[in-house]
Amino acid sequence: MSDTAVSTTSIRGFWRSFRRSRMGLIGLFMFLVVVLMAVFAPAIAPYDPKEVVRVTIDDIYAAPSAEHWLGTDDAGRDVLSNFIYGSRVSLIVGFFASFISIFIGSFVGIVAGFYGGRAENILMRFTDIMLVIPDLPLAVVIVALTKPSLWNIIFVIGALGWTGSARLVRSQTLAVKQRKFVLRARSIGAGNMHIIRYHILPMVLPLIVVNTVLVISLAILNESTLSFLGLSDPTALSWGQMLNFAFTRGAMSARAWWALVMPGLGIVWAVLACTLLGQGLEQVLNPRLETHHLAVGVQMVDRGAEVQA
Amino acid sequence: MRTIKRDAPILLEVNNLSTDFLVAGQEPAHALVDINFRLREGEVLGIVGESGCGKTTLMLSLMRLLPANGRITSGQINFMNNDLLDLSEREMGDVRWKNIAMIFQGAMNALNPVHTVGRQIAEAIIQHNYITDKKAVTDRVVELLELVGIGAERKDQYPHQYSGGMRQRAMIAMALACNPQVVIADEPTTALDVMIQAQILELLGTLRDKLGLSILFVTHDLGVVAEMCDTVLVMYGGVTAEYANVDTIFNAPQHPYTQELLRAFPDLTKPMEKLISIPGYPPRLNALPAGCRFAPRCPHAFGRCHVEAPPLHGVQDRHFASCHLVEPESNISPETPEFPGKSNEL
Repeated sequence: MSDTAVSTTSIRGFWRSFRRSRMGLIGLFMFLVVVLMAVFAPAIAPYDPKEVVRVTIDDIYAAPSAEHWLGTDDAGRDVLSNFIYGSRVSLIVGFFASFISIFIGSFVGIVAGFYGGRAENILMRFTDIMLVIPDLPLAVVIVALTKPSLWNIIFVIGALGWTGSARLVRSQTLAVKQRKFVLRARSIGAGNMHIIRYHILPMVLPLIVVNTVLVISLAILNESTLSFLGLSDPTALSWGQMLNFAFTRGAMSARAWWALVMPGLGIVWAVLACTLLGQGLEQVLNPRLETHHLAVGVQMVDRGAEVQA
Repeated sequence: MRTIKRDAPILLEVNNLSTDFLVAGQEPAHALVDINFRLREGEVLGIVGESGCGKTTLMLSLMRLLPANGRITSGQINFMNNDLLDLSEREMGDVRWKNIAMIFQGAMNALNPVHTVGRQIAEAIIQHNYITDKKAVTDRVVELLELVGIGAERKDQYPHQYSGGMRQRAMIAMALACNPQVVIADEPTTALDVMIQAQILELLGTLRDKLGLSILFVTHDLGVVAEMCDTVLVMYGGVTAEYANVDTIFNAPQHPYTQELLRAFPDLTKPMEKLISIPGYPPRLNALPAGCRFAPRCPHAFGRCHVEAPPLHGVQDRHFASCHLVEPESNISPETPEFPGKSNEL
């Protein structure tokens, strides 16, 4: 932990600060639930969604029952199992796409902020252009032109979602660059790479970490949107795709609410988890909030007498 | 009081150094004009003046670390027979810290809050490959910390765990990391209370004697100057007002600015003396007066002061002031003796 820019210097100290954020704890809990569900999907899910089933007319959009807790979908498959397996795709896309976004965004932001001048001008104007182009239509066009595979989706979402992080990281870099220890490092004889790695990056890192978590939720949402529009890999079942199938294949007219509600809830759950977790992390990682001064609480008054609440 | 040898070898010689700041769409601001001084081995040179008179600009010019719009327009900075202004950026990077190190103003800002103090001191050593062996670097860090009176066990602590005085000590340790010959101390005692200030000054004094350091001491505290310095350079609005040894500055100042500055400072031997404040403000660099830069505030100003900027006159041996009042009367040619000159008459 000593390399990262947390005001608390150990994992235990970090946890102690994080524990104080109720929203963060709720977010962490919700996040862990989704991650565990995705990791242990084969163990939890009652059915395998890939398994070939013999379907009768009664199995299509069957209402929830003891056999199928959340009913079945248009192909007679178990909605609960689909839902559990679908979390895998949503999370994979969320994680990888946000890593791509954050990587590009941090790189652009640090280079633009640190070097300034023409490099900054070119990079930031490019960022502005990317920011102005509406993400969704562009993503639709790119995905439609390429093969709709899972990795294509990841790259498209990742390559379109970095603009916000780039601006954020740039502004923080500009602020850190003015600090006197950068001048000191330069007078020591340190080169640009050393200063970026050793002085700028650690100061920008908390921002990047928080932003990553928030971008994950955006990526999950984007993936759901693209899937809902029928632009995702049809073999990789995600929550957005469940919605797409339910929507296009008459779940509404069949009054099969279970086929629509579950994937929608899943998306909301994951996005909310990331947002809350991001907020919690921000409180801990932002050195200005200096939570460790408050960490002791009422025990700070240690004169022996009874302390009033 | 300690006196340095008058003929100690000259380490750093600055001749006619001028620095401009470029301002978009305007004339460049002349932040430093024709600054001259010499720093001998083991000498402490105090650089005094109000805020904004160019003290920090001078220091940053010496290190060639001016902000992006700063330009050194003329002069020489001779250090051990090399003109630092002729060096490539790479060679200059070598001179910084190995030969000339700096103690920065405001230690809290000059320390990175996310690294331990020990690691930041090691940074300088490693950057210059002064020592490459890891164990030896740690030993050197411990040695440096102990030199400035910080226990070795505190090297793994972060700047926020240090007190203000300790941070300043750590900055001093950092400056000494590569055994420099010259240390630039940019207001090292500002924002410290008097007790800590005294400790830091004492520490700098001991280190000077022990390591034979030459120190450029930037301050606006005349008490500190009297205590620490051998020679004093009084600056006003980017020009030299007066340059002499410390006794002359305090006992026989020639420039009206120096005189006023001293009258604005309490003197223990004259407790009933009324303190004055110099009326007006230092000149703005984009609106300089036509003649002498001090003329608008000067109690002795006369007609010529408002039209003609005075050159630096030699008052005596090693005593210089830029004022029309000290112009040598016998001076037939208006040319002043070249300051400090190559002829070693200083």
